[in-house]
Amino acid sequence: MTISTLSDRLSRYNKFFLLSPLLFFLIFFFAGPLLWLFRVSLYQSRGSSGFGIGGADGKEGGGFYVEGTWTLENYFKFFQDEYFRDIMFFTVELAFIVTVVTMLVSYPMAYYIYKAGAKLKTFLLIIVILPKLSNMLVLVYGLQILLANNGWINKALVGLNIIDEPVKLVYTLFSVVVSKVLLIAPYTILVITAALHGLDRTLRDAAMGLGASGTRAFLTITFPLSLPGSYVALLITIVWALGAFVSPLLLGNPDLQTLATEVPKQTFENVNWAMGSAIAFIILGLMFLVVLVFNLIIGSAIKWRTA
Amino acid sequence: MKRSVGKITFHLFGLLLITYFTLPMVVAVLMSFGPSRFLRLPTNKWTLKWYVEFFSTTKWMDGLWNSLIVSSLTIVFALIVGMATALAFTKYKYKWGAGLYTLSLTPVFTPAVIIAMSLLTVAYRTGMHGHYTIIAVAHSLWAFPLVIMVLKVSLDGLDKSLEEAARGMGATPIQAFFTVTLPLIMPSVLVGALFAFIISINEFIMALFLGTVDTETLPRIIYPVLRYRLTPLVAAASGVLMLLTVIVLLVAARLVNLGKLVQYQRS
Amino acid sequence: MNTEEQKVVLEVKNLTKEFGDDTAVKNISFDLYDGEFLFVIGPSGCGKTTTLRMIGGYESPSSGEIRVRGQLLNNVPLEKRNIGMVFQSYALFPHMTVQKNVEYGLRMRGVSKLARKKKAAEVLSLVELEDYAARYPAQLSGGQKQRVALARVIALEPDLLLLDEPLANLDKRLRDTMRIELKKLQEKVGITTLYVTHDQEEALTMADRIVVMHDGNILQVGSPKDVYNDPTSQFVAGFLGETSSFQGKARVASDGFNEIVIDEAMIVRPIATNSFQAESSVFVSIRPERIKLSKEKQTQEVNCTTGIIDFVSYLGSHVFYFINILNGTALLKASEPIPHGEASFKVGDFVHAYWQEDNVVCITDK
Repeated sequence: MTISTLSDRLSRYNKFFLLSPLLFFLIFFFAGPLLWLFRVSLYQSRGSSGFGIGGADGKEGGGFYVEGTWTLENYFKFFQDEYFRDIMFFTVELAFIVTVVTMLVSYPMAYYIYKAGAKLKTFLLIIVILPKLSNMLVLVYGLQILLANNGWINKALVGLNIIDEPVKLVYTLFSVVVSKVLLIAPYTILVITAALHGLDRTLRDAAMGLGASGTRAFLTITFPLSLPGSYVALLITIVWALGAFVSPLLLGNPDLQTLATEVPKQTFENVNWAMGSAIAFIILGLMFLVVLVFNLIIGSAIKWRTA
Repeated sequence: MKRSVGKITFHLFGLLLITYFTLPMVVAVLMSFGPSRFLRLPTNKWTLKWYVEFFSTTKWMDGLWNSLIVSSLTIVFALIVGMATALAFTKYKYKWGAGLYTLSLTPVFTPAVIIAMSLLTVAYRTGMHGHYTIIAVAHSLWAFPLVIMVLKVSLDGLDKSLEEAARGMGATPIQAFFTVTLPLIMPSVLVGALFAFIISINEFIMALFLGTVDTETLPRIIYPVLRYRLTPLVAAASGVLMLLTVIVLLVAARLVNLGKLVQYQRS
Repeated sequence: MNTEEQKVVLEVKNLTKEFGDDTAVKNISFDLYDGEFLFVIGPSGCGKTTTLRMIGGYESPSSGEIRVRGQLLNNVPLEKRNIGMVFQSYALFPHMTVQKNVEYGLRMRGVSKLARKKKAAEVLSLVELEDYAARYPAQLSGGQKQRVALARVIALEPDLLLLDEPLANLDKRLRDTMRIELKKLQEKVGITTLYVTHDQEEALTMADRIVVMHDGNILQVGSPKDVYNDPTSQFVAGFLGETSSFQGKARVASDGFNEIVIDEAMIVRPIATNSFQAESSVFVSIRPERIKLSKEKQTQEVNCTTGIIDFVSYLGSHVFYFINILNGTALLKASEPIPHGEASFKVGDFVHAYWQEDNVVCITDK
């Protein structure tokens, strides 16, 4: 027998009322649109023409796709056309390079922060968060200036007699990677720093007390224990790297474009929404695939380690 | 000896990374005060002309205004969703709670292009395209997961008996929330609002997809300039964005009244 | 104290609380009289805090009734019950001064500012914290926080005061002082109080009556003296104070008296009013301070045993002996006051232990 008081009934109502804003947003602005995106990718493209603007009303002469059609032709076209395939391969290649570089930069930096004294630690954390507090376009602009042929970097390299004449740095793979890493690394560093700080510090002390050198204590204790947290950081990095947009667009060249930059190109320049949606969905699919594969390989290895 | 060499390398590495993280921004700020389109240091001809131009150009000022409208809306959306959700997950147990909680955080890990493109297709269908709301909705998808996380930590840290004590002394649930819980989580609410503001004011890709000429935010105006015609004016525009962020940070710190906070949390 | 004509303030009847498959409180009933200081004690997880929270309105009962001054409270939301609660963590509002904390309940009741101030000053002087009104909780010591938490609910003049392990967060020395202060304050204000603790010492020193709970059930209700001297169950005997208990078989001796034989070696004879079924299993329990030790053999044949001292625990005012008896199969605890600071026996000593009939507590339940 349950006696339900008034406040009980109120709280039961409250329990679901409090979730309604979240559910509303997730359903109508996140999951719903993603589903609709998939639906749009299955429309037939309405050729390409400059006067597509005017809404998806399906009237003759307007619309970005043909209403009422169901077709996989956008996906077929994507995987058959060498142009799209090259872009996809470059996207994966770039994501791979960016991920490797980001992890190589982030782990030592996170460890550096972890080892730093309280004041230096605060300073370093602010430095790391700073790029995230500012506009990514500011960073891109700064890099454009820095990496220019007559920019500081080239001048410094020439001045130090490392090179004889300026090298082209901006609008190359180098500048794309440098900027993308700068955009992702703050997340990665913060996640790894948090993982390191979550470790029991006495474990390392215990290892050193048992005779391990600092380096050995790091290699046998700290590093393996920080792997699960670093793995999360790695996944975040890959997902963001696959979605690279600003870096290739503003610091790359026409040969260095990604799937993400192809989305607005198809959508706005070619006025082909169906294709744009298909590509967006393919990016999403790639992310899922990579996360899934990594989870199967690395995830199970780490779980075993920490079980 | 070997140890100190290792240590120096370690610090050098740290220094290099600090440079990497700060230099692009420093250069951008210097440019905004520089006289020419190219950065020549040292110079003694520092100028505010780019800022003057920024503030006297209607297009830029409209962009600034649009940015402020969108970010205000984003704060409202993110706080409503974030606060309700954090409260729900702290107070109640749900059948699918763990899964739903993870799901509530996924939007922040979704790249902007995906959110932008999917909302674009829906915005056209629903007639929301070209409205501030849809940009703010997109931005709040990135903001509310952060608000949830920040508030959840704060709420979990609260002594549950505080609210019970208030109720026991005659406060209704609503009174207890407003007189006890809310004041105590206020710092985190402000931090959440700050996150929402910073995300929205700087976000560019969603604004590019979902904005129109009438709702162009500042980053959306900076973008073509950056792509086709480098001018220190974009540095000035960026400078304004940074200044806004700093002002909001300071105001938030003031509102939170850090000194007092430290005082009563030292228990 | 608890005579029939006294007014019942709180009436708990057949109260049960289930959490899923777990029954935390099992069909318990008890009354609380006007001005009484009632203790509910038991080990953690015995359901005492759940009982307290149901009375306060922080949990709703699965079944049963809670009445205060005759009014059924089951469906009254907690903010409408006039019951004050002091939490183990004090739950002082950290963002409000002591003054604001004390005024809080009055403010929620819509009391005017002037009246609030007057009442706050009154209760703060009662707990001797007049000078601390402007401080924040973080600036107070543990004992002061405790007093503010108390003042804050006393200001509301509740029908009933609930205290949930109020001294658990204080260090030992302060706890002992606060115990006396709290008892004095309760008598001064004359407020009906229900106090939950796992600390038997607190209960014995402060309570008018004690309710002992175990595993969701009430085992015994009575004055501290009753519960200590006449525990009705093995659990109560062991939970309140130190004791040595043994299981034995009842028999009738040749002289007609009832006695209990333990391990066929030790014979315990309680006072004559006890009667047992022959061959039934009986627990006997003897308090350590009632046991006398001697190096010489005593004249009595029953209520005595011999053993070797296994451990001596020095406690300043007295010593505690752990004695191996019955060839090392059982342990007997005995204490000895040491006014001159020297213990009479040391580890390894062979001793005779003996006690009086009226010091034997027999428990026939399991």
